[in-house]
Amino acid sequence: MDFQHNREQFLNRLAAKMGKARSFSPQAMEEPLNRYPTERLTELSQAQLCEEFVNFAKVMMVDVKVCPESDVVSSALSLCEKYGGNSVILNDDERLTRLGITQALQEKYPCHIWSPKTGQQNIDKAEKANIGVVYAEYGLAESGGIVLYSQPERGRAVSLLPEKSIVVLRKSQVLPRVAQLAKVLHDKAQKSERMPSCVNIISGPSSTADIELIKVVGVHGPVAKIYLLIDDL
Amino acid sequence: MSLKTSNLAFKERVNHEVNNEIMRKAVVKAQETIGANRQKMVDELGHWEEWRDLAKQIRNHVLQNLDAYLYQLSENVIKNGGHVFFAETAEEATNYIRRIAREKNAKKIVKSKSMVTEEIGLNAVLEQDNIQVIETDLGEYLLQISGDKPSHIVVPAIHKDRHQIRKDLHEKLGYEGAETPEDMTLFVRKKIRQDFLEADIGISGCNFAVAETGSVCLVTNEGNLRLATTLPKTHIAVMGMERLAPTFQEVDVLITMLARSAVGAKLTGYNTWLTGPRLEGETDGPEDFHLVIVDNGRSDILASEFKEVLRCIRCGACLNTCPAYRQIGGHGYGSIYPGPIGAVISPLLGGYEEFKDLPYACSLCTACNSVCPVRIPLAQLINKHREKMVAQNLRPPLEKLSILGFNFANSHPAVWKVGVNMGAKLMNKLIKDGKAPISVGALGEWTKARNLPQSDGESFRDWFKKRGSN
Repeated sequence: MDFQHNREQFLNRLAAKMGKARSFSPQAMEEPLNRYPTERLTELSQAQLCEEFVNFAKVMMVDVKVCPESDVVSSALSLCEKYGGNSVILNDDERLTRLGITQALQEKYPCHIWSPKTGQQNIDKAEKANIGVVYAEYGLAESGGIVLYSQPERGRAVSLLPEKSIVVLRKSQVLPRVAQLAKVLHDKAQKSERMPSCVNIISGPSSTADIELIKVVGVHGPVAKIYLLIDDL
Repeated sequence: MSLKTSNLAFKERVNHEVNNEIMRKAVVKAQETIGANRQKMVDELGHWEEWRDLAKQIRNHVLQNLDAYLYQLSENVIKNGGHVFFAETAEEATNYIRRIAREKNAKKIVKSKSMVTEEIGLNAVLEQDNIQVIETDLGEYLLQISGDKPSHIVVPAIHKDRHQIRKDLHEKLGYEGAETPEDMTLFVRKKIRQDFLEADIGISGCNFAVAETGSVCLVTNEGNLRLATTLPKTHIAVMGMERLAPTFQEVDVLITMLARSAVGAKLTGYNTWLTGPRLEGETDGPEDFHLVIVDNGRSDILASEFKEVLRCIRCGACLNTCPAYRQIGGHGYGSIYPGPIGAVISPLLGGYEEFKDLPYACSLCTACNSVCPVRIPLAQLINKHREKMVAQNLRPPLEKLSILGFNFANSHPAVWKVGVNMGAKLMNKLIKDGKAPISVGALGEWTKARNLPQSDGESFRDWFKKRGSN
């Protein structure tokens, strides 16, 4: 059975069960009963949002280091030192290069830069790396989380396979909550732009509470999560 | 596995579970801990009732437009380079996934926790083809190695303590480490990592699909879902057909309600929103993406007086507050969907023949109604099942006799009066230390776990008459 036939059979039957004629476009959403999701935390200044973000990230066991842009390289180096240095993998992200982080880490540690040209080797290197370094699109004040978009130069595995994950982020990019990220993506969709193949919202290190509800960090993903927050306000 | 998790009769299951001290202790702890965390998060969010109204509004809108949203979703998945298959039955869904696995010559599949794949019995079908299927959520993995079944929607191995888990790990995988959650978790981490790297296919459920973009939104805390959808070359997502949101904006509301209701968190550790296969030039993520949309009885529910249950976002909050679940645990229900939500949907998906007892495993206390983030009137729906079973003459024989007797006495005042007077006197003579010598039927069931109140031999009417004359 081809796709069209399979779909039409299924949806025609569904519409019949619903007791209505088959429709191809949904009715417009009714006016939302309230605006709490989009208005929550928006009364805070950017500085207050960042404070909220940092405070809750720490609750989520994230190590947060805040520094001015002028100190970002030395801060990145000291964080790598603190978390065992050794092998590092970075996304080929121009924002990391512009900050000088990529070059500084390459000089100090055995580094692999994620690249579409190196194919499967990227994953092998990420699996063996001690630290993965990425640059986040946004921070989310409510949940202390960060947002990553995948791209050919920005692998999903860089923030996933290494034991420790360092995320670089600017204070000016901290949003109140998921609602504002959702709006950014909705606006992209309205303009018929393709979504990133993977958007990750990550709040804290990998954890589980499946044994006696005791929280254990690092079941599959990174065992440590570190934010390097650039104070650009 | 499929919807049904036990071949024992309901009474046998319950008897077994009420004597399972480890399970009962664990469930009490879970209800108290998760319940307290949930309440903290509800208070922190503020305007909780209004958030519930909004979540209900979103879910109702989706259900009213389900055919159109499924059409829109499938158009967008295809546009993004993915594949969509609509499965009317569990068999159609498993056959499709089996065909994909055969085409890919798959030897090893890593799975992220998914209730709908449990419901359709996917693992057993794939294993018939000698494909190794590895559950990668820690709780599910622990159950898989010991041949056990989930007892909770969110925390599947809640019924096991560390001693049992260590024993299973030792006997099945030669674990020699300490009996601590940390050491046992680290052992599993090392054990599964290679499986992720070697797997041909990753299979996941789908918390919410986004019609506007053709995306699937998945929530976990462990990161196993990220691994299962990052490393294998093929990703198959399986979704119950109602798990839709119009745009990411509605997903925001739903994941907020889900995390706070399920585990008392502002958000789960990982929220992964996937759109199609990897893009040109990307090294990781699947080359091939399939979305399997499963009906398996849901359209019948949508056409019935039970359609409100399809608002469910599988948070498990109703389990975490239910006094019956507290006593009999998930295995007492004999369904992969236990607790109040299970008492409603298991008979709908699996039929009264298999699950006729579940609507009776409920005291209609309505605690579940008050915590449901999408305002499903679970207690009323459970009661509706009972009404339907009465109409279909499916009620338990003892209940039939009791109701006949009650109706007769209730419509004959003289019989009622004699009955209550004699009953009070008789109970005064017979009940000793909270137990009655004749323990049959409901009386027997009650006295197994509780004491009967001691009567003073006087009926309420007599007592009231005397009180009125004073």
